Amino acid sequence: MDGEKIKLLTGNQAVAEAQRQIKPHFFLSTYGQRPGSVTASLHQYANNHLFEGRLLSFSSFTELLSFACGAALPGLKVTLSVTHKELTSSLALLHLTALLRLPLVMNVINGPLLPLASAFGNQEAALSVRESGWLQIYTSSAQETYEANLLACKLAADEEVRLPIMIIRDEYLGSEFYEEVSLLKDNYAERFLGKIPGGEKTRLKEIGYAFWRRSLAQASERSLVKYREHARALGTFTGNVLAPVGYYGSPQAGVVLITMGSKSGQARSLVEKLAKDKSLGVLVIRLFRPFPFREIRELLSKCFKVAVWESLEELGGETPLFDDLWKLTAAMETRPPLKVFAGENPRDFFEKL
Amino acid sequence: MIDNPLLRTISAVLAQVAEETPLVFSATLEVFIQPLRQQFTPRQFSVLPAVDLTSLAAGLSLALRMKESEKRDLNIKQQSDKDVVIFAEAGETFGATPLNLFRLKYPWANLLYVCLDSQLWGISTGESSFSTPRGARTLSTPVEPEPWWKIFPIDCFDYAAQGCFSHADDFRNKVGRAVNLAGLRYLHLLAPSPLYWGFPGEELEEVARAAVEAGFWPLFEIEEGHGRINLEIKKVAGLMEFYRRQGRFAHLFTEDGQVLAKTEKALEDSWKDLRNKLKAPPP
Repeated sequence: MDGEKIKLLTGNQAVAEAQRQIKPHFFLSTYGQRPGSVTASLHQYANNHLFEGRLLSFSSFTELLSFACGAALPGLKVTLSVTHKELTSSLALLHLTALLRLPLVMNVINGPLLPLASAFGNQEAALSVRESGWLQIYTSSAQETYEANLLACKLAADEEVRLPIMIIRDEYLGSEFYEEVSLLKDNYAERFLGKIPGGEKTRLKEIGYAFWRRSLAQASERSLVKYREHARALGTFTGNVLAPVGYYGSPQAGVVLITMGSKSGQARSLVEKLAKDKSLGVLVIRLFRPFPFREIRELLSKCFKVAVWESLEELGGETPLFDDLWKLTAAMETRPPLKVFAGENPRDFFEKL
Repeated sequence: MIDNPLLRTISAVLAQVAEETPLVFSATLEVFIQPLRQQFTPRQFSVLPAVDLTSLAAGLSLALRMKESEKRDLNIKQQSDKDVVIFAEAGETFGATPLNLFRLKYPWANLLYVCLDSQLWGISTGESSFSTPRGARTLSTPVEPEPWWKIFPIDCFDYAAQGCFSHADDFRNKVGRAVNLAGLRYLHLLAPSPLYWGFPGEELEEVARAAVEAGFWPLFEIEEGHGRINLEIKKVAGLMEFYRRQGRFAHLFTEDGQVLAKTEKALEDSWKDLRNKLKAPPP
């Protein structure tokens, strides 16, 4: 499209580009940022007078989210950037910010919580906070990260939604690797974002926890409809719609592999490689909370086998993605058998399908 | 409404706070501020646990100023003229709020921090805190008491004062001073709890007055590192009478009276420490 320009960017730089166009009042991050991080890129923009928001760094996640609460309560636009280690350090505040219905947008780099775990496609940190009330968008490329940032900013501030959103990208593949990203021109991004509604609507009512929780659940339901709406609107500018789920491979595929985040790239290349021998498809879940039941049900209606690829084995239960898919397929007329492959390489398990 | 010491203290402070100033109440106060809600809802921000109150106030103070200003590129080093008032209890203040770091972290923010000290962790919980006097009965294991002016370095505040609603003029002056200054201001106010202290609710005023006059609750203020004692107590006397009014000290009145003798001695030492800290001359 003529409203776009192509640049070679890392996932971090793609976030910084999106933030430059979003123009938040505050961009908050935690200390310990590496060179090439989002904050470093934004500091460069700020030095060149390309970014006007206030850049602040904090020593702890509790401080960061508390400050974000204070800054977002009067209705200012606040975006954040953290890593998986900080994300898991204050679960109570994540719940609180969701209950307060603060329209925060937080970019999260997903990685292993312990050094011996695999760094690639490890989503344990973000998955562990999936029930905090925050919307979760998992991105698999710098392009998706860029678009998700614009979309999330619009969605979070939507009057009918007003919920905090996490945009989750995997460490290294999603943050450090250079990719071609087609960026919207500034005036196009501005046209899409429009005037972000401010106002002081995010205030606690005196009715209590049960009321807030219900209002949060209702907003979460509405957010799925609004996500589709705003994704379509963004699609008119970018040319492709960042749908809640993505599908690659043969539309008539009998076997579908379901995954999230950077693992989808590997799955896609494998499907392309095996396309001659097997009819395979890859279903990539981008919007994980709220879970897009309708889209997935439609895509799975024709297949006869489903494989779920997750990074880590669940301890004493089912893996998070498998659990949701199990509930989803239970309502289907012809239920395809589900099989979970946790921590394995698709190269190995695809033969078993 | 007046029977509740917390409400009484909060209302007295709010009488002098500007109309548009946002108020932040700590979680433990949630139950007690219900009657105030109808009065102040439009300007009120109430919060839940787990929040770092000082960071929240800093964000609020800066955001309000940015919202008012049309220009985005505000100088962060410039002092924010937007004030935020936090009300919290002793437990939260000493246990979870790094007030001493506030000026280092947010030198441009304005905050009036009001600690409502019922000498318990929280008036709704009844557990002990650092401000619980030695020997007082609480619902949890007592800890060694430590006054706030020893917990926080006093020069971390632009203004700090200890007051009590029973001495109304002194109280009003201190609140007025704190409201009109900029930076970090701290008010440490006594809020006796009839339930946990063990005295009839009608005696609230008298007990509070006795606490001050017995030297149990010194009235003093610190401004830019210079301290001043507002009500001189020449000799610690009347402590026994003050203790006798309260059920929480009833078990101390043993035949030998050893514990009480120690308590009197400890209070005298505490006054000496306070004078040293404030560099105030002996009376």
